[in-house]
Amino acid sequence: MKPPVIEVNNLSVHYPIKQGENLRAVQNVTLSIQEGEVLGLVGESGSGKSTLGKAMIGLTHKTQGWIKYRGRFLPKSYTLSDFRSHAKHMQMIFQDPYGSLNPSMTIKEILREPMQLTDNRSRTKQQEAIHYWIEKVGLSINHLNRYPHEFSGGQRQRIGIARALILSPKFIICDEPISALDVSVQAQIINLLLELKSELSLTLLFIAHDLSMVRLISDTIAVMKKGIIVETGPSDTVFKKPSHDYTKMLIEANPIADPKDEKKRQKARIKSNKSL
Amino acid sequence: MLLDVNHLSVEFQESQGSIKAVRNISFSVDKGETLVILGESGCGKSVSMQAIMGLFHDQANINIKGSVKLHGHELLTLNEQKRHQIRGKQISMIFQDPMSSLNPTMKIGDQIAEVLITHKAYAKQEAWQEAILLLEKTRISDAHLRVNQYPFELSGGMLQRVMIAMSIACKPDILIADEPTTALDVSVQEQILDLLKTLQAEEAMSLILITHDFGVACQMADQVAVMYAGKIIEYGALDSVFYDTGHPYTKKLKASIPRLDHPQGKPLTVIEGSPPDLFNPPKGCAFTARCDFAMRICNKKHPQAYTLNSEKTSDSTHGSPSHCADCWIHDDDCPKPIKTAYRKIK
Repeated sequence: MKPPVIEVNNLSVHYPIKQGENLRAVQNVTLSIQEGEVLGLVGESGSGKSTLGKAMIGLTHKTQGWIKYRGRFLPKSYTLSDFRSHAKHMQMIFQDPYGSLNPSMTIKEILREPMQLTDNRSRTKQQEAIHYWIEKVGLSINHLNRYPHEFSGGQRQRIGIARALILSPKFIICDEPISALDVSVQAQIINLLLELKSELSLTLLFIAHDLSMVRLISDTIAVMKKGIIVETGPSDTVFKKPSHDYTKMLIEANPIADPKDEKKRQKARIKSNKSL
Repeated sequence: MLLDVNHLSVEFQESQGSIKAVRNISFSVDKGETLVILGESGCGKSVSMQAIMGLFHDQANINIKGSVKLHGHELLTLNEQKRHQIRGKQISMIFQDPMSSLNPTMKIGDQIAEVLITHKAYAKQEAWQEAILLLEKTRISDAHLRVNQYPFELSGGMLQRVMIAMSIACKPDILIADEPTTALDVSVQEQILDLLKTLQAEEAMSLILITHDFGVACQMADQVAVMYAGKIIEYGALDSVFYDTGHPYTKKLKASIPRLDHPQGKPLTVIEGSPPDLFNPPKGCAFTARCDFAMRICNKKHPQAYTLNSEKTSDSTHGSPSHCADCWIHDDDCPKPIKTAYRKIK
């Protein structure tokens, strides 16, 4: 059997806050993601889900434990050349479509940069890749000479996706890619990711706080609370028969887009709050 | 009617022309009622609220037309001094991003007290005590400690509670909440919306809630106004708008939210294309280019608001306006097959 694309073993990430005190952002997390699988990582802000994603790609240190990519250990802390060699294998899509694109670079420059830093393909080859990917994510070649501020949130997120995919990595960490977007635009981005995932057989870690969208894209869901993974399972099972109270709370906190069902939900919530 | 907005338009003069951000909208809010304004970013929902609050006053490049009446008194023609007396006292507003709406250099307690000192001539000591009581009302933990903290020391959910405490300090008749939970987690969102509902009932306050999330609308609304490209295209009681949807845009908006039974891995319904350019809004219905039911007339002329003969809802005691939608599909001359096809989709 092939080794999993990513394997995390007993990983902890601690940040010092005061003398002798540590913030335990991630505590003893073990998980693995198989090739072509989408793992949805859910939890409230501060639950450590982004830190876990960052540790996987080397943007933060690991206090304890190890991470393997396709059977090979990832370094404990990254050097510049580590980042460059890993960039071809794993990439990240960020939450904030406004803060994650350099405002002084054109879209063409933003998309070219990863190629300039990691491989020595010719200018023409770079151009070809840029044209291919900009259309792949639903934008057009006319957009290439524009700057990030000229685009809407959804369009910027598409640019972020193109930048992440331009080196053809196989593992992508999506850190709340839809949280900052309108509901109708969220649907567009989810559809784009679903399409790209099946076409390119991508392996994804999809981080979010909203279970209803995560369920649609994930094969497996892991629920995180205060640095610990409290529940893991197939997406539909976790969603329909949550076993942990925290998961239940996350699912039931979501308002339902249907007035009658929503009234029922509110009544049930009042009951369950009283019984607590 | 508590608040009556009639034919409100807002235009921004830019070097390339003028942006028609809000185009002739009318709505009203009754005492104790919740109106949800639903729409995507850029549809003019925030701009219309800022115009009502008078936040554009005296800006040369902004043109505001129409009328906004609170208790029958016109607000748009007031001078800045009079406006200042109303703002925060009779109408107040909370914003999407609580972090940047609070002063980072002032203690929480001072920021709440400031409202009371300005509008109610409280002494400092008194105002500070009242600030603690207000914070307790928002069910924040350890209110007496929070007053001495600065905004950076609190989480997003707590800051939104502070904003709410400030906005209800003078018991306003109407609270405008501009996407108050968009920046928050689902669990915190639920707490904040519950809080708004409770406070609203306690103080018999009216609420205008702006959101892009149909779920939030279903949780909060008595009335719903759906905005698209600067216009209200559908308006009515929540149940009626949801179950008897009168506009293709509203239907699409509904469909883009995954239902609980949506199969995993199956693409969601999306609204193809993007909203029109508001420098040059189309002559006809602005949704035509993205609409599945577009007819020739749609491009030529904007439809009137058709009143839909929906069944009476339980809220009709409020004297709520009837359900109407701006769409040619409700015209008597609209071909039958189109009407049938429209009714068939969810």
